[in-house]
Formats: sequence, C-alpha cells, structure tokens
Amino acid sequence: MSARHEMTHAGISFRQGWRFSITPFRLVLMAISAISLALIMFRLITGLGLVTNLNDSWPWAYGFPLTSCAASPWRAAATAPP
Amino acid sequence: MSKGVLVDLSKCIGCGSCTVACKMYNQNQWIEDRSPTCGAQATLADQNWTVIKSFEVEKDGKPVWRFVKEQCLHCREPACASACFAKAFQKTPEGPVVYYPSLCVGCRYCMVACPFSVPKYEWEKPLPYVTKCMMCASRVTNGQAPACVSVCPTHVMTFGDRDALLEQAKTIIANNPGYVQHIYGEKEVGGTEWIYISDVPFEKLGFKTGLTEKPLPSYTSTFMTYTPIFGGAWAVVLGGIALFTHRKDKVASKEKSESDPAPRKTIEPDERRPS
Repeated sequence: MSARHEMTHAGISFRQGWRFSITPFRLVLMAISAISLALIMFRLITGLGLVTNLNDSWPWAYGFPLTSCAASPWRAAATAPP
Repeated sequence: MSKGVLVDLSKCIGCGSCTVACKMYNQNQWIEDRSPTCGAQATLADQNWTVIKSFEVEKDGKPVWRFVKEQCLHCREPACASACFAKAFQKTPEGPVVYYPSLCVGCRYCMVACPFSVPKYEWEKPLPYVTKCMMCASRVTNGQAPACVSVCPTHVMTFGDRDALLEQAKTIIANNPGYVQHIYGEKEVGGTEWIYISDVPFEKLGFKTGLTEKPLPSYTSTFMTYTPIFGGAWAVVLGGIALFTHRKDKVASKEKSESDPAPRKTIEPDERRPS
C-alpha cells in the first residue's frame, strides 16, 4: 500500500500504488461499518428517542440493557405514577 | 430585585388560555395526541412549555376540580444552570432562567438536575435541543408580564417584584383560613421566582413536597469550585515530571555523543522499503 511515486496534484494515478486486498477480517469490519451507517441514518431520521429508548421521564443512562426490558425494576421505578 | 409571579390556584378555572398564549408567543407546535396541554393527562413536553393539569380532589367532604398551571418555576439558584457545563442555562438578574440553544451540547444533565423535571428534550428531532419555559424573558426585561400571565381571564397570576408578591401571598393566606398555610416556592430548593398558594394541600395537586430548603447548587459548589484550581495544579505537576524526564534524556544523549562523536546513520522514511 504505497502511492507515493505516482501521486500528482492534478490527476491522481494509482498505477503503481494502491492495493486493497479483501481479507475475512476486513469483511467483518466493512459489515460493522455498513450497520453503523444504517443506524446513523435511522437515528438522524427518527431522532434520539427511538434509538436510545429514552424519554423525558428517563432522560439518562444507557437505555437498552436495563430499561428496555418491561419487567426491569428500573423501568418500573422510572415510569411508576407518583 | 428579581421579578416573580404569584399563582393563586383557587382562582383557576382551567380554561387553558395561558397555554394558548404560551404556544403563540413562543411559536410552539400543538402535539395534543402525544402530550396534551390541558386535562388530567397534561404533561410538559418539548412543545409544551406550560400546561394546565386538572385534579379531582376532595375538599370539605365534596369532590372538587382544581387546575394547576405547570411551567418552569425559575429557581433563585437553579440546579440546571449549576449542572450545565456549557453555560446554556443562565439566571438573569430580572429573574428568568434562560436557555441558550446555541451553547447547548445536548447532554441532558439539566433534565436530571432539575428538581421539578421541567427541561424537556426534542426526542424526535434529528438535531435535538432542550426546551423549557423562559418566563418570556424579553418581555420581563421590558417590564411586561409573561404572555401566559397577561391573558389569564380570572387573574390567577400576578406579576411583579418577587419580594412584594411574597408579602402579598403571606397577607392573603393569613387573612383567609381557607388557604393552605404554606407558600409553595417561598423556600423550596432555596426559593423560586414563581410562588403558589392553594386552598387544597399541595401534595394532592402533584406538587413535589418535602423538598430541601437548601439551594441545590450549594451541595456541589463547595468542591466543584476547586475544579479549575485542581486542573491547573495537575498541569504544573505533569509539566514538571515531563521537564524532568526530558532533561534526563537530553543529558544521557549528550553524554553519549561526547563519548562517541561519529554521527549515527539515520534511515529516511523513503529508504525503508524499496518500491
């Protein structure tokens, strides 16, 4: 992976330089990137509420593991009527 | 002298004019399906800076309706402003606690800090901000009452100097035994600019009672004020260690070059790998 000799300002030539071989690990990384990009788009369209499962009465903490579960005592404490 | 509002809950008929005035003045949307502005289910929300919540309570053995106007109480020493590290919440000398969206980083510490759960978040926006009642700060600065106060048909709310309103409230509840002998907001969390009097116990009307009379920022300010000093001192300590270790390296290399004057051959980056 070296492109130093053929790089010019006007037209970038990669004749000698760039090689990008697909390895299994890189496939995994690309999959993670693809999922992340999809999640970013989803979050920008729907807003933070749906993605984080947080709301005005439970505005902080990492929402999913503890509070997305309906039986969670945390969730019960947060949403219980006063 | 800060401004305040005295709310006499016994006068409210629950018409909701104040919520309409608030929406119009602040150009907020109607989101009745998600968060109604009036009724038993009324909740403060990103677009609802004030709501009228109705309660069916018992008074003298008879069921009665009472209506509570909810909005930011504008604490004299606001916890939201204390928790905000971006200075997006600022207490103005006139009384209102003002939120500056351009400074906000969206951390929502204010929502956790507020004892009355007033700041709300735009959960459905792509780039969300916090929202809350700002007591129509520009109107108050010009000596005018907030929009909600100015439209109330039954004069539930009185706008004026907070100290004078407090005296007025004390007079009213002293001369009328029907009132609860407590002024909500006089001492709660160090006092709020909005104060309430009522003929029905406050705990039956959704008010958070039993709050401390200590201003909430006083719990943290004693040690949080040392943060910059601690940061500065830590920079000095680390800088001193860095200077010391670099000096040691410099002395070592100098001693080495004196004992071995031939220059070392260095490898240029381009020579590392033949292309």
